Amino acid sequence: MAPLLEIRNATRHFATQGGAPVTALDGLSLTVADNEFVTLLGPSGCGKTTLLRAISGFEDLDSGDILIEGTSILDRPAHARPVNTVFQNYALFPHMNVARNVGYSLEVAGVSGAERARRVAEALELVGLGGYGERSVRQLSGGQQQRVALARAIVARPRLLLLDEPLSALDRNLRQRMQEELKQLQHGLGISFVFVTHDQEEALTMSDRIVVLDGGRIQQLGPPEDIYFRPENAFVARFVGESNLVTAHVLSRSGEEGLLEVAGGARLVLSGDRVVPGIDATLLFRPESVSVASGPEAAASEPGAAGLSLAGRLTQSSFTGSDYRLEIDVPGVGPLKATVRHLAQSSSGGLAPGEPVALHVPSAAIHVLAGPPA
Amino acid sequence: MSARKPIELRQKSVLAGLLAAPTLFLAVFFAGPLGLMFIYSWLEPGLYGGVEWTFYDLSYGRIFGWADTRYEKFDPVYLEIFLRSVVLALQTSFFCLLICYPAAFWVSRLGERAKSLCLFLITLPFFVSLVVRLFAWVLLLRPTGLINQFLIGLGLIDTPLEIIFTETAVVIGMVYVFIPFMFLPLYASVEKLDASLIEASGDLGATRLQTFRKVVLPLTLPGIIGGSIIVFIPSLGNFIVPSLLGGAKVVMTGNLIEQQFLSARNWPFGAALGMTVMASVLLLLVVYVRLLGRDEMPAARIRSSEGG
Ligand SMILES: Nc1ncnc2c1ncn2[C@@H]1O[C@H](COP(=O)(O)OP(=O)(O)OP(=O)(O)O)[C@@H](O)[C@H]1O
Ligand SMILES: [Mg+2]
Repeated sequence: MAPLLEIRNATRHFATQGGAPVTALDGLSLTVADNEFVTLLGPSGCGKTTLLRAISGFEDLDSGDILIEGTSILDRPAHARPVNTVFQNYALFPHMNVARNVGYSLEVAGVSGAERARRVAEALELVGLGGYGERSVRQLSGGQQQRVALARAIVARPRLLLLDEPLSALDRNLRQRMQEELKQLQHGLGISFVFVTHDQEEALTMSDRIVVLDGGRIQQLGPPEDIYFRPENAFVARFVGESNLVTAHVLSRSGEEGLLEVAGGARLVLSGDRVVPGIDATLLFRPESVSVASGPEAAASEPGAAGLSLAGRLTQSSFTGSDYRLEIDVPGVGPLKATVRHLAQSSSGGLAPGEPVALHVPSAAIHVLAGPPA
Repeated sequence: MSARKPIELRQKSVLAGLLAAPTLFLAVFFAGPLGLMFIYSWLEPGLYGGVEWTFYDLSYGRIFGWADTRYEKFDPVYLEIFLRSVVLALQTSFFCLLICYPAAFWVSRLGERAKSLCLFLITLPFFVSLVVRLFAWVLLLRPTGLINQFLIGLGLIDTPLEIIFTETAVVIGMVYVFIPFMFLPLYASVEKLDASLIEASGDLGATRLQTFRKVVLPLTLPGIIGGSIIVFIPSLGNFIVPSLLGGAKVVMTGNLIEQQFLSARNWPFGAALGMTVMASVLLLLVVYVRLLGRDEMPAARIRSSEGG
């Protein structure tokens, strides 16, 4: 069976005044299955909005195709596509009350008054705004407007809902609550969501699959765990979560395992296809995988533990409430980040900038990237 | 709360100070003459202009069709003139709207510089005297004028069209004169229209016609009504266009009033005509305000669309 949404080789350039054309979409291909929550994640200007607008019918493609259940929808005008959008600024009709806003798609489709009222009430109930129908949309708070926009987009039960940064205008608490509600709603309705955000935490929390975009191209596509723990390249590693990237030369390989040497002389053993003798590999590890010990005696590497052991000097330490965030300068490697729960006990009771420290990263927490660091 | 009092008081006195000058000016130079006109309209005309200070309701009687003191012979000649003026003013508003509405959309889609240029061009006619511009229209419309010569030259007509000194000529002239008055309020409301609302409507399945009926039209209605009123009122009282382009054949209320004051020297009758026109215009304004006050009329845009 054909997937719900399929994008084939979508390409779109924009002419700029007096400059080279901007490539907003660069041969992008993507499929979205039924009842799937897919997030487009990427920095500003990477083409997220352009892709959504191409799907909803407000932007043309230079080349490529967009299919819904195997049928191209490119020649259909926006109003004839089985897709609804939640706009970033909500785009509620200011001259209509909440109920008429929500019932708009039913009204233009000619659904009778009683049936319409029933479905509007149902949709409002679903987003937690039961009884708000008669209110003017101008009297609603930002979060309530957001819910009205959501109710309006789902009332006609589209197969696919597009959401362009719908939560970006909300404050932190409301945002987290809406993230959960959206996820539940998507699951309950069985509608596929294509959700745009440039907030990586939001993407990780909500998605079945994440599409990381940069420069109109897919950098990586996969479930949140893959994106976070096994990024394909340095862009994804840097964009999603905090990361340490270290270059290591592969000295030799025996069987499954290779021996690598990091600048500065530290050696470690790693397994995997990407460890090919003679190349420079890029190693990624997250700050929370780094354990830190203090004192000059600890600075000597622990020979027993498998993984990467380094010695350096603490340059910065800040307390975030739940953790300490440390920055450590390792000669030959550069600054590395570490997040630790408790500062390792030293005789003085804490770590001060300038103190020598020892780092250790277990092999299991080290991921080898496909390419060199960007 | 008492701590805020002095500030409120000061703000109020500043406001009062600012408003004092225009209030005084209007009281002396607008309300004064208006009151005088109202009184004059109920007085007997003097033999050589001016008024006799005796009560006299025949001026209004004449307007509503009874020219004699006993209200027996009904002759609605002035009502007809008034109605014709209303019809011509309505036609003027309508054609102005027809021309300006699409134009306002077109201009609102232009770049910033082209927009300012267009707005400047719209006001450009004000730089030339109205009388000069209307004489140019005489040259265009008369039997040997440019338009007729052009049409004859093309072989579309044999004999010149009789346009000049007809109601058509008056409407053409008034549309020409009042286009800027229609355009500016219309443009203001079209420019404010949020393009994402049009997209949202399409996204929700509305055809272009449905989007126009349900979103574009209601949201630009204040501009349409405002522009129409601003055109309708002065065209109802206009006398320059009918006297230049309508010749002696098309008499409008404005001409009538002008004649009463300047040639017939019947000030009370002129005043009564003026009062009647003003009363009907005020009535129209009340209807307009009522219409605007209705629940579903957009006064301000929603908070979010300003921030997003
Ligand atoms: N109508 C347009 N004309 C010219 N360039 C455009 C147009 N629309 C988008 N672009 C360009 O295309 C690129 C992608 O834009 P797009 O709006 O898709 O980015 P985005 O990923 O949604 O960014 P953001 O997170 O800031 O919303 C940008 O470089 C942008 O400048
Ligand atoms: Mg965007």
